[in-house]
Amino acid sequence: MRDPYEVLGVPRSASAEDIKKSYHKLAKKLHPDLNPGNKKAEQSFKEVSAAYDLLSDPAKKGRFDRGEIDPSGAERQQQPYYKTYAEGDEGARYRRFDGDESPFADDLFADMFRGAGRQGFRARGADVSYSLEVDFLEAANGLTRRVTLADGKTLDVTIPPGTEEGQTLRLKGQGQPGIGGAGPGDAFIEIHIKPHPFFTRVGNDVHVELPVTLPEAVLGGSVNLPTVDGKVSLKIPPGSNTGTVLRLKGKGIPGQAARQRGDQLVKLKVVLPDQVDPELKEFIERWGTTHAYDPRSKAGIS
Amino acid sequence: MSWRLVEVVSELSIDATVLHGWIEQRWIRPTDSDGELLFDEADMARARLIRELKQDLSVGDEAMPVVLQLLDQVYALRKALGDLTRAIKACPESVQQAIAEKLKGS
Repeated sequence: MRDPYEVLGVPRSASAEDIKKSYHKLAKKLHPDLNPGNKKAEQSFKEVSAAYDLLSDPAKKGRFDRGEIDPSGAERQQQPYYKTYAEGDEGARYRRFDGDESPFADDLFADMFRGAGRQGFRARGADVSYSLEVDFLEAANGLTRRVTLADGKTLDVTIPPGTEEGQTLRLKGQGQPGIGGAGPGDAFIEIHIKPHPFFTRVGNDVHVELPVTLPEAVLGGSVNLPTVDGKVSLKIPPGSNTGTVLRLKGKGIPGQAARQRGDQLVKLKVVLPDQVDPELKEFIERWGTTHAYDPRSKAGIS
Repeated sequence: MSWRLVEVVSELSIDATVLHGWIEQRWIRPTDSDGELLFDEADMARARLIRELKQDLSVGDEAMPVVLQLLDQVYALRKALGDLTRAIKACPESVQQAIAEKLKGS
């Protein structure tokens, strides 16, 4: 409890008139009903009121001046302020604007709800984003995946054949619901494609490196080979080499609206057997002595 | 809780004719219940406020309607802003964020 003279900002010698004047000045500034929502003003006002209660009563003032009571001896019993009710149901009839019940009809707010009339606020729902990881082949061939969004909602997402890495699918109306009858937002699904063990995608073409045996490379042959939509038989021409690229037309990623179906490009890689047996060694020794060739000078490395 | 006119008069230590004057001017609008005026908490607190405005804040009878009208508008706007705040809080997070962004800029 502060000293009441200090609270009112008057000297101990102040007259009753000065005390009253000082109190009126402070009350005008601090009255809680004139400062709704300002806790500090309310606290100060209580202090000022208590101080004035004490100092405006000659008997109490005398006792305080003689040190018989402390400043708290005179605290006024707190009556409820008008602001306690002013914003509640009880105060409703006093809040009427001339001729109208709601300040939302006032020019300040009228703009905000133009078009919505008195129905209230309208706003389109928020868009939601989701990231979905799919396998290489799923993206290539398309599929429908059920995803669960953060809010627990499930969505069936149709991933069209040929979907690319980072492509975003828009599901109209699958976002958050609108407010006040406005439409829902959209769901945006960003697709990420997991890498494949041996296929890589370049545009709509699928690249694969195919290991072949020495006899297959030298003599040619037929090998079974996976593509994005199943196995095919690939003819390896005689005399193929590591780095030879064979093109399987139309066996790449299925076409989309703006892009034709791609090809599968097969790059051969000649692989020796794990163990070079004596027979092969003997043959190559024999063959090598009479068939020298220089692949390095052809490649510019010598 | 509600009070009758005589109870308000004694609670606030004011004259009955003074209180009648306030009611006539429509500064206070108690409920008429079968010919008897009933004051609820808001009416009582408002009567106390008017007394304080007059006695402690030296608001005269001429200025009183202006003061009350402005006060009522402040409270109406505070109520409207409170309603608006609650409506915004009920909106999706993204809407709230968008509003906060706009307010930052203004």
